[in-house]
Amino acid sequence: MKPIEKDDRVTMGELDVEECLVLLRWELVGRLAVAVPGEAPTVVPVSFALDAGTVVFRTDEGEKRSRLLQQPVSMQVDRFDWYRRVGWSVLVQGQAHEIDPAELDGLDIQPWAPGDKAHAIRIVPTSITGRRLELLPTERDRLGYL
Amino acid sequence: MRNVDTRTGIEILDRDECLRLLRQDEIGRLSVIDGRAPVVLPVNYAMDGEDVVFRTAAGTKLRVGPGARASFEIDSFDRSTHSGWSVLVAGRLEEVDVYDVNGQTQRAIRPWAAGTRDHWIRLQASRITGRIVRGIRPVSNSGEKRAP
Repeated sequence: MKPIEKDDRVTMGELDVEECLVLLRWELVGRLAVAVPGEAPTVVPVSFALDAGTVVFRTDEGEKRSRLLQQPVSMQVDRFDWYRRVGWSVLVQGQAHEIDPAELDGLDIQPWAPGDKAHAIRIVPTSITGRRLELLPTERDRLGYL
Repeated sequence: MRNVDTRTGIEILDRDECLRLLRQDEIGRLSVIDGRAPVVLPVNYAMDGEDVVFRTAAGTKLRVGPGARASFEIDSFDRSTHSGWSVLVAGRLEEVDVYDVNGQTQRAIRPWAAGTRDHWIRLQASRITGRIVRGIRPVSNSGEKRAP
């Protein structure tokens, strides 16, 4: 892990690609973000699996499927520990490609939403970044402000 | 009245239900377009009326101009029942002076990532949507179904 910069309240550390992949391997649900021309990006939870450094998931929605194949997409995953106030976030950015659903056989994709999702998508990453986030217990800074 | 898609079992939430969920949470994800690709980053937030207000550290690379379109998402997922919900707020961002954010909202936002100079940002909501996904109801040992 890269050196962590400390200050009074928080520490933050950047995660390298290998650390990001290790974290993603344990997760079931991520958030798929797709750019929509002229609008805010859509963000929706999807069940995914990691497959040889790529992200795969199922989809069935016609209009949204064609849109995600045309735009750069991202998959974000995070996890926070409320008691110890630590967390991490990983962002995979890349290009989505439609693949044969048979390529998902044997991969553990727990369904987020029911419905017949006949199509399979693979995101080939152009960038995998991650960050560790930690908030120390003090609620006020040195001057007494929150 | 519940609005459930009978084919998928997905329940669409109305605006009031979405706002209720937004008021209960404190971590959400902001999504903006950086170049062509979307970035998604977790932020501490609070609701100010129907707007989402959050703080970002000065070092955070949020390269957006005033009025930039952005989304804000919160969700929860229960692995054992495969149930969950998500809420999505779409709107435009504006950087605001901390003094334009009411005191209660200010106190509610404790940022995860600190910086020596924080930027306060308001997402003016134009569209708030949400849904609940109910998975398989687990059957208890006695054979009776538990309520979701």
